[in-house]
Amino acid sequence: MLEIVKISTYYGYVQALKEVSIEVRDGEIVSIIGANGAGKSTLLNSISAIVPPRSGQILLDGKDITRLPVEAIVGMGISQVPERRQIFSALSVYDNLFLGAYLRLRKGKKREVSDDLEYVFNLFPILRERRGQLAGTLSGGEQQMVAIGRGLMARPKVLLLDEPSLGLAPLLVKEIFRVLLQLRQEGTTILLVEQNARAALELSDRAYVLETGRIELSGASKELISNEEVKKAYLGRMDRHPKRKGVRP
Amino acid sequence: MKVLLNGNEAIARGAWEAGVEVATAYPGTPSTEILQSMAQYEEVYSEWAANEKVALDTAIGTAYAGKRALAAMKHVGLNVASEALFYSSYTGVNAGLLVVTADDPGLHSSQNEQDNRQYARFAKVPMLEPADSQEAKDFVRLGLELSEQFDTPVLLRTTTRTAHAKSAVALDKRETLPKRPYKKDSPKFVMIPGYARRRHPVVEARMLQLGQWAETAGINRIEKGDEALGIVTSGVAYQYAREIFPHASILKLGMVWPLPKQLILDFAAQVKRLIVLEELDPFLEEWIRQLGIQVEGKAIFPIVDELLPERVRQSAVKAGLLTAENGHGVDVGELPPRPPVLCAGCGHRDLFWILRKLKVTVNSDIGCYALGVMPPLDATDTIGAMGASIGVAMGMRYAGLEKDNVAVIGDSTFFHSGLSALASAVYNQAPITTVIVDNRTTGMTGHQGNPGSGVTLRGETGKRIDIPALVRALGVEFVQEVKARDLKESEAAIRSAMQFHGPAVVIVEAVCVFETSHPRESYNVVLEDCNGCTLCFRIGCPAIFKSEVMDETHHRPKAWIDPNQCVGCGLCYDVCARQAILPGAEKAPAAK
Repeated sequence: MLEIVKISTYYGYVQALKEVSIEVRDGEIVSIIGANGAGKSTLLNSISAIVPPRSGQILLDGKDITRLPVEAIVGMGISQVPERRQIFSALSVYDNLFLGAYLRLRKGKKREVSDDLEYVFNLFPILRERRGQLAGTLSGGEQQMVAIGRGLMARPKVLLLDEPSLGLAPLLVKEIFRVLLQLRQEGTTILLVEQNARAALELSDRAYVLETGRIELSGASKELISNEEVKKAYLGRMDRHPKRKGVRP
Repeated sequence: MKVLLNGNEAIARGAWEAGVEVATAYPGTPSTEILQSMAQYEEVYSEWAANEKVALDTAIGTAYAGKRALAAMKHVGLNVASEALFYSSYTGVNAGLLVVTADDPGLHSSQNEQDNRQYARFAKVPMLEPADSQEAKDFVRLGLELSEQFDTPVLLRTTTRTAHAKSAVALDKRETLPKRPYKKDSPKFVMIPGYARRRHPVVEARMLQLGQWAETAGINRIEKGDEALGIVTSGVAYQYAREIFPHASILKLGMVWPLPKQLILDFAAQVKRLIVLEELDPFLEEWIRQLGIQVEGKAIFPIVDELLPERVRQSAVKAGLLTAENGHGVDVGELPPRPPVLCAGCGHRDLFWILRKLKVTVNSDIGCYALGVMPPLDATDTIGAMGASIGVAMGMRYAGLEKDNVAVIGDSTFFHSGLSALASAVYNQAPITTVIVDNRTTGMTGHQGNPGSGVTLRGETGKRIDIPALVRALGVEFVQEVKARDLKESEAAIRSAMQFHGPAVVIVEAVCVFETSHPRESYNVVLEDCNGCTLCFRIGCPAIFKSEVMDETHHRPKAWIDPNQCVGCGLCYDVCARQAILPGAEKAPAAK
């Protein structure tokens, strides 16, 4: 579905991605794990053309989308749920969700869009209750639901998720991840970036480990979760020393 | 309530609380935020002056008339305002007058390092030096009180670190003071020689009294620690002393001029080894040494650059004050270099591209356009101080310089101190070309208004001075206005200006990219047409990079334009000989 071939992305003279290649197959959840500054968000931003790569190729269903502008990429079926949610705080939940379907509304697909709205409200029932409320007044977890809902309103083939667990209570993280599983069952392909490596590996089918701009490891998530290097670097040792403090994944 | 404020914000807050009624400044790093922060307090009348001397004269006038006043400037700004500082030292004040000087050790954004504590001694006025934001706020009030008590302007010195670092500050309410009556008093306020001669002894007596005050002032305090090592310090160096020598005895001076003789003698007697930790000049050290005390300072710590904890630590280890084990600091690693460059789309780039092509000697000035010196543009020969360009250009002309030369000066700098230089050029009919680059703002310090923009500090639309009319009124006979983006027109104007027999002025309108809000499409390189000729690299645009695609014939990397940085000015489009650079829309495949 989504194929990334040797992309290199820079911020000015600083190289953030070094010939990164990854593949996301139809119906998969693929996760990217890595430390702060490894290039995880840059990878998503490169795919969505917010920070276009300087070299390499990005293919969607075999079509080269590398040099397309952001809005064209959304139109082709890639939508991004950005880090820290980035919702429009001064707009209602309803308007936030509707904005996600902006391109389709312009094409006059009003019926389709209101069906999708119903779909998002079924996915996150709390949003139905809060639909008239200003999005900025919601709790962190609800705001994350708005962000994911907004992403889904573009009816994407591939959903890019940047740290959906960021700043959320464990219970809410569980809730969000439950919805991601449901989305996958319903056929949405997901590329997930997470610092919560354990949760990401438990959820996804396959995963890539990004280290200072390079893919260092990849494989089935089940295998990576028991890989010694991954354990040491990203999962801590909480399994062996459950009470030890100060060690975090 | 406590809030986090940086030193500059704390000074503004302190001035507001202490009942200051008028605040003036000319922007300059690291002092700029004082007045910007001041403008939020409606009770204080705040304004940008055309230069620091005007700012200080204005504040002096307010103090004479009986209301508290503040003038703020960077260290080199006090050079400009120094004449005002010296006369006000003689006249004294009426209501309190505080002069803030923000020094820039380490030259983060200045043309020289200078230690403005020397000005306190030179002009014979007291100087306070805070070590954090709370002190910055408190010292403003104290300074104003001292100013009234001892009838003197008071200097408050910060450095980049105290000006910009944030720390907790307890807030108070504003004090409203009655206006002190102004009485005509010519022998005090008129500095003709006869009266000034009588004021000088008053000044000397005042400084002796202030020296006495300093002996028991709470802001000069001894913090007892290990007797083995005693450190005399002030300002941000005090923080470094506490961090690097947590056990030492410290004499912390809140007032760095005049100095408390007895207090220093007492402190010296309490400790075995006495050192002074101070940035830049051995100001305290030399004064202490002349008391006949054995003291070390610049033999241990560097006289150049700012100190910073790690430099203090390393120097201390070298001098045997610390052992290498407890002298190990934190290794922060190398940061990617980020050299200053003209912004993508900056109109100054167009001008320097032309000047480079014309191969003229460029006498430039202070502002964003100083970056025209950076490679690859490399189109600047001299830069000194605010307004120096025109005078230096005249002097080089008089010396019979082999090449043509032009003075380049920005709009804000022109109003700051270029006006009188141009008047001099007209008066003497100096055959020089002055290019006024008008970006309609004071760019380098963060977009403050100036007489050419007409926008005041309080956000009001004041009177905008018409530069071409002004220059004509000064008697310049060759005045041409061009737009920076029109390369041909600008080049032709500069060429004819250089052939003119008298002083000639070309006004290049290059409105700062941050002042305009026209969304323009970014440009793209058509890789098939680019042959890696490097021409577009030579304009030094931070949005243009070498791509990873090589031109097969010449083995040179082709160009790549970062769409996030490109603002669509089109200079690269103009310089590209192969039309391989096009606006985005013309190349990007149509979206479905």
